[in-house]
Amino acid sequence: MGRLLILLSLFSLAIALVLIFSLSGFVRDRAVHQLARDDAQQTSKLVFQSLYSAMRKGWNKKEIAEIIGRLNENFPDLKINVYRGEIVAHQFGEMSGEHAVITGDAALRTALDSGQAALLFPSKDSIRYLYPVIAKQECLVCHTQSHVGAVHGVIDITYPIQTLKVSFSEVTNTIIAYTLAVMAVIFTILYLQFRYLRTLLRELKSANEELKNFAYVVSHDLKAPLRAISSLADWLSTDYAEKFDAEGKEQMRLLISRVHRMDDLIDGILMYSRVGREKETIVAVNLNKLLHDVIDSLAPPASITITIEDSLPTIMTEPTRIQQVFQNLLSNAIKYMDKPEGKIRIACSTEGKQWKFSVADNGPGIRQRHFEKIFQLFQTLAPRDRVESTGVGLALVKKIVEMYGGHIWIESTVGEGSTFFFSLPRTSATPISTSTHGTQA
Amino acid sequence: MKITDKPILLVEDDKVDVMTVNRALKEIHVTNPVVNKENGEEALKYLRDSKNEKPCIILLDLNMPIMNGIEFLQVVKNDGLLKRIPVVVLTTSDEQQDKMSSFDLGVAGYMAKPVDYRQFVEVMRTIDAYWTISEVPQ
Repeated sequence: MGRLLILLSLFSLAIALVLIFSLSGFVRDRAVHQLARDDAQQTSKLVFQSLYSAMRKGWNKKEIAEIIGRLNENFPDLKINVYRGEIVAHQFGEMSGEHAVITGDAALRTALDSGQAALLFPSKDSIRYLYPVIAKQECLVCHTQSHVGAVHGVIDITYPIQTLKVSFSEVTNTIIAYTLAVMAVIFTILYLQFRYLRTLLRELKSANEELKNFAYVVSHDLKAPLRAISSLADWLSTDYAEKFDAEGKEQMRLLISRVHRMDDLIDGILMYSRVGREKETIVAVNLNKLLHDVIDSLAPPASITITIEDSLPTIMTEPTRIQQVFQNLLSNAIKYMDKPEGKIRIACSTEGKQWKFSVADNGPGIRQRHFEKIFQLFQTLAPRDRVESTGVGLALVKKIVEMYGGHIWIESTVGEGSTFFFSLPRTSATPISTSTHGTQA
Repeated sequence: MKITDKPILLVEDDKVDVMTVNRALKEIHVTNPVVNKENGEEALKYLRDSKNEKPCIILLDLNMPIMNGIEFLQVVKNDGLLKRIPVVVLTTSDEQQDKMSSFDLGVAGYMAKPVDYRQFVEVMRTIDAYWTISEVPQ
């Protein structure tokens, strides 16, 4: 997976480089040519104007040479030539009377015949600009055998573009270099992050695997001797019943009860470790129905009334897990109830994108300094001999709620009761109609 | 058990668990002889020896050395001569994976060994009652 990612990024980098280079070359050439053409156009106009005034006095070769000499001095980069009709004809076509007829290059002929300038690219490093000198009406005074629009001469400017190209390339190369550097840094960071994540994932996988093995070891290897102790203690107290006095019998009873407690603790660890490890199918769970089932299974004593105050939503979740949440919260409220008339109220409201559930009781309440502790594994507030408890329930509830992206908290007044709140993301759009008259359970 | 003279094959490595099964069977007056083998391999050797009578039921532990319960099931359930002998898994494992593997391999039942001996007697009583009523191919 990692290797594939590296290969892919290298491949895309190569493609990007080729694209950037060919594109930048293309863009550069276009820009350089445009620049050169504009420059040549300007220059040739100047040349033409200088020459034209000379020509009006008649084509004097010497004068023209002087003008060209001066122009070449002014524009040292340019190679300027002026051809008269004969030379044009010699180079590009043939003479017809006093003017040249272009027969060679078709593009040049079209350009010159229509009186437009032509741009030629004789080599990579230069462009050649041909500016036709076209006969006007006034020219015909002297050039009696010509006609308006005939090509009488050509101003030929060769323009070196290498320096332009180089300076352009420098700019684009700098941009490309910076882009590449930035890309390299980004790729390196991405790669490092990927490696870090992969290591993390591997560690997580092995930790998970270890937890699974651990749970397996606990369930098999710790329970087997425990069962043996339990059986042997049972047989001892049956087979040797007459040999035990009252104290001995009490000790055997305590021994067996501790074995049972240890068995419960092991079951608790297993249950706790299964949350998130064993996935259940996520289905729509009608909490009204689920709660009635939970309350039925808990069979609360007649002195305790459980009220569901709001109509509860149907949520998308793992049924066993949400059942464990309510079952533990309710069984705690029932188990620790210290009032002759116990009242447990279940409520639900929407808060933004979350459901907020609450289970409130009028039991003994919990001191604020214990608020954190009660959610930790194996933590109980009463001695285990008084209230048989593994201290797994609330830790399990917290783990389940947080696994689903919610959180759990408690509000309590000592002597008056406690309210456990937990939130869950609203996974289903079932609206809750807040009924004023609660449902009696 | 419906057939009282055929042996019960108990594949179990824990000595106290063997004692527990024997004691529980005696307590509920099951008279079938109990043959104990310590692991899957030993049990297979016993089953494939023609001198031995085929058991009416196999009580199988899962967590054993050399050849565990699942591996034993994979062999037995692919053996035409052995695959019809009902196998009841008796294990400590409450793992979903073990239950799925066992039933995939056609076990007749899956019992979690309770820590409490009294409860274990009840488990054995139920197994006996069921296999007294249920017909089995001869």
